Amino acid sequence: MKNLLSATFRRLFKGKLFWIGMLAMGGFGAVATIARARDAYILQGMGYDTPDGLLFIGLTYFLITVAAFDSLFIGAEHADGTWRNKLIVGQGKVQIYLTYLIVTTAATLLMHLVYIGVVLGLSASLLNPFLTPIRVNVVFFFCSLATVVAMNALMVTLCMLVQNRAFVAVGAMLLAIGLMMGGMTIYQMLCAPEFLSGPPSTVNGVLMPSPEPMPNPKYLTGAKRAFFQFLHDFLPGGQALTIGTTGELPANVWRLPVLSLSLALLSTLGGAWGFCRRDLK
Amino acid sequence: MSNLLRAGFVRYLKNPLAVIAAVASLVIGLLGGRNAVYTIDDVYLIALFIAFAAFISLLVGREHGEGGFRNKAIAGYTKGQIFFSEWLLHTVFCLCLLLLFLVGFAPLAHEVLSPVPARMLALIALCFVCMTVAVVTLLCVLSMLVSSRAVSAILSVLLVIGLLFASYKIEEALSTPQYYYISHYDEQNELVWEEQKESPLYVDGAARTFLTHLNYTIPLGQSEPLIQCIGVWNYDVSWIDEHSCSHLKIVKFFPLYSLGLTVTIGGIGYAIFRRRDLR
Repeated sequence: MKNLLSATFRRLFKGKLFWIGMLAMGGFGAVATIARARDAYILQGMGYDTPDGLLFIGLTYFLITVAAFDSLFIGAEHADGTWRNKLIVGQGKVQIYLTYLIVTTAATLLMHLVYIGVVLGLSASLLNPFLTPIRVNVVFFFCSLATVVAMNALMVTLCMLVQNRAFVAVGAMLLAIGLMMGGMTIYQMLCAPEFLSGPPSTVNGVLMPSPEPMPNPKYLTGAKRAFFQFLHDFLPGGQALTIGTTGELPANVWRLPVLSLSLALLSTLGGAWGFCRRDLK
Repeated sequence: MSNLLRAGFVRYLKNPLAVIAAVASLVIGLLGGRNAVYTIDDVYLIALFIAFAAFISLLVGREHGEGGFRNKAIAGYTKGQIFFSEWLLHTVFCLCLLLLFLVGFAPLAHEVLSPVPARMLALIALCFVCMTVAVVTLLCVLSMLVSSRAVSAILSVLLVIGLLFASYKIEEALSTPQYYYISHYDEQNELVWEEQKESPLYVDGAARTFLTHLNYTIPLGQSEPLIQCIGVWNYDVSWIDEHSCSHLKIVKFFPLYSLGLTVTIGGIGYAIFRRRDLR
């Protein structure tokens, strides 16, 4: 396993893909911070002069980076027949699976850290200090690491089980977009107001008062609300939204890393089981 | 060239991907029609274009991978014929997929579409057709120029997402109001006076003209005005603002923007493809 790890890490650092990913995340962090600094310059005194909300917003789009990186990096191994070679020299399938999981987890965590590092570095010189308490940012930072681990574990499972590199690439991108859209949809469902009041209307030019608030039929209650809340906390798309956009610690914040690590564990177990049963080309 | 088209048509029809893309288009159309309130949600249009991206990149990538382009060149076809036949095949396939989307969408969104006058509806449909041709051209050129199937699949999906973000950002910049108001209250919390200030984010002059044309040129930038053109016939008349009405006047020029993009991107793509060695 040690040999596998060192060989795969060497391939990671020698290839362009990892550095493109690092550059993309660093560039994204730089663009986001410079855009905020521009807003702060134009809209002076309107609350745009701090990096609040910027530090973890990259996490909401990070699924796409993870999908592209994992599918191309692991897919190249499929295409080159490297796995079969590794089996021939006596390595186990579980060891191969875990090697890719460890290497891609390290790579994606580094990309995430580069984004955060660039935002922190640039905002220190271009913007005022955070208004968000340090405790909130620190807790969210550790939660974001767990979310990245879960995103990566999910993508590795897909990439290890589908042997066609192009189909893996498309499947991973569609999964990433699906998780992002699913997270947003569930978030909107959870944020639906309990009561609705229509807009004020005018009759013969006279402004009439707003009608009495009516119960919103789309408001989630009971077991249904608990189920969607669980999905929102469990899936990486929802977690990324919570960490990236809320700006304050939710109740039971400990659920986020616990659920992320559970998802990572479940998908790794399932993926390793499926991978062990496969015939490799 | 007719041989190329016939062979490509049969090959694509036999491919299970074509069936998957057709089913996906129909399902997206059904979902879009079911959830249509006042107008179409453009998320379904984006989902359709992502399906196009996956479909085109995988099929063109297969030609690259199996040496299909090289074989055609050996059989005596010019690069121009190969390029044009591939573009034409994908355009026709994707227009069929758009038709399937509309077959799923239209019956369920009948309430939203029925208040729109027939001429306007026909014009909007023509705009969507031209927009689809422009998107297919972009995706086809990208897939023809990137020989790695996996890389072209990822870049195609990223291109659709990039177009979406670009159009959102431009629309956001253009819809920023010229003035904003600061309300001043006295100690009894009663409004004393309102101060009108010019928004520093308002885009004016040449930049506004450039961004407006750019927004109409980007295929997904056209989708928002087109959707608003359906929406204005469903909203209360008092809700219709000047911004929405302006789209009604400009919408007839959208096919020209799409045609311009198609010709430009197709021409650039062909020029690059002609210089490439076919593997």
